[in-house]
Amino acid sequence: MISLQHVTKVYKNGVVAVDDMTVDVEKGEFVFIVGPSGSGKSTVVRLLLKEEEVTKGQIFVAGKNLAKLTPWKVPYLRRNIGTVFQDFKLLPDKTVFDNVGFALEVIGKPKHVIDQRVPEILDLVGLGDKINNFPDELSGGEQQRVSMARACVNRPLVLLADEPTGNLDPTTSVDIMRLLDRVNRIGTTVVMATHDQAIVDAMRRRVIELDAGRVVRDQSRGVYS
Amino acid sequence: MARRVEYYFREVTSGLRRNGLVAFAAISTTFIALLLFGLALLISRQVSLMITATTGNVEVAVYLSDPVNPDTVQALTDKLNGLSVVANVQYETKEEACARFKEMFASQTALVQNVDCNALPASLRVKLHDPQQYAQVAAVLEGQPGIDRVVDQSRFLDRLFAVTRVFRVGVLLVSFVMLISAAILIANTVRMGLFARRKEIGIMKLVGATNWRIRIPFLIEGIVESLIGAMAAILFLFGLKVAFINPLYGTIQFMPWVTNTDVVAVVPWLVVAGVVVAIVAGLVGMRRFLDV
Repeated sequence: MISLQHVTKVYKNGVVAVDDMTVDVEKGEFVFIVGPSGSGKSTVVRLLLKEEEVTKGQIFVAGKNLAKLTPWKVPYLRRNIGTVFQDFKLLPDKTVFDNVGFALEVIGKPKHVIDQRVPEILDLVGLGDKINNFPDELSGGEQQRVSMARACVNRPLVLLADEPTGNLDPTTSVDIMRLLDRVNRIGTTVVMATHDQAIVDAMRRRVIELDAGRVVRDQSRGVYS
Repeated sequence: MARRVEYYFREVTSGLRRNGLVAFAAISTTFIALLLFGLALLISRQVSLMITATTGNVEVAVYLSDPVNPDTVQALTDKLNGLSVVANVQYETKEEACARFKEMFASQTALVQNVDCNALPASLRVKLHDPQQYAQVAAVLEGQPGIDRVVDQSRFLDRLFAVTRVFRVGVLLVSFVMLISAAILIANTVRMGLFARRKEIGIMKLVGATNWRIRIPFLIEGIVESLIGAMAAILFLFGLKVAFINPLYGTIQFMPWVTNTDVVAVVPWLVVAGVVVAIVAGLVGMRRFLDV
């Protein structure tokens, strides 16, 4: 599903964020990318979304070589990738329903599809009763669940989560991890960048550890360190 | 399709509401620019009407004395055609002169009804390769029978052109400068709109909205602003025409004036100019946001 071949990313200011990284992720896998701040976790996420170009090496996502993807095809790549971030990235002037529906609307899905799928996915993340609330009326955990719903409403092949529990307390984090686990069980490949040790240790999934942009460990059913 | 139209409509109206003041500046500048542009076009039209009216678009008019003898016409035509400076000679009968007169003053019925066509002379209408060579033509025609009067119209045309050119070019120049400022203001509203919604746009890109899906509402917003300005300019032009030209229909006769049809004829030009300016401005305004 995801394949990185000797990927190196050097930013314009000379910082080497990712250094000769080679990783293969199978369809349906659940992978943690761990490491201290600045180890290159977020850069990997940005590379997979083609928000940044690789400096050297090749990346394949869902069978597509990102380097050969023309700019007008990038949106179609991203429709196969759901994304969840630490800061939720919700629109404060839109209701929960509209925040999720927006993701379908801007890729041209018809209204009847939106009206059917949005309540469905919001029920699934346990927010069926908060459908008409605004984001600032929700707790952090609830907001992150809205953002999960938005990421999954288009049934992506891959879910990228960049520190999804970074702003949440441990109990709420467990809720979010349950959701991610559920999404993974229905066949979605999940890649989660985190430095939340407790969660990684509890889940016992494949762990890829980065240090200064290099893979220092790639272990199935691993722990944080 | 209907869904997409509804989406764009909603985005555009909310965009216009959000930066109302800047949008107003863009609209009023477009209005002034297009008004001046339309004015320049109408002035050109008026000048060409006046030229047609006074000269019939020829440099030399040879008015023939009544009654006209066909042999004289033939002889004079041959003589003129024999000159190297003459480009072309056309014979205009009294009836043709009358028809041209009626067409020219179609908007002034009183004039058309009161003029006896018999009073209009038949003429030979001569075009020259070089209008400066009028003297040669005059010399050849000197003393020929059947000629009432030879008129060198190029001198009059030169003066008319000189006066109107200054005016026309001036107005065009000012309208051009105004169009550029209108484009800059529209580009600015587009850029402000993009900036105000950069978070939303970031999310749109993240969930896989195509670039055009994101850009088109902003582009339409610019076009709508510019079309509102164009609409106001068109209405104002009609107003000017009614206020200043219509009274002339009755008072200054023997001179054709621009009609409503002429004003309608400049409408598409104003609309096209407005849309082109808006599209160029929009694309310039969002240039920095073109990358994925």
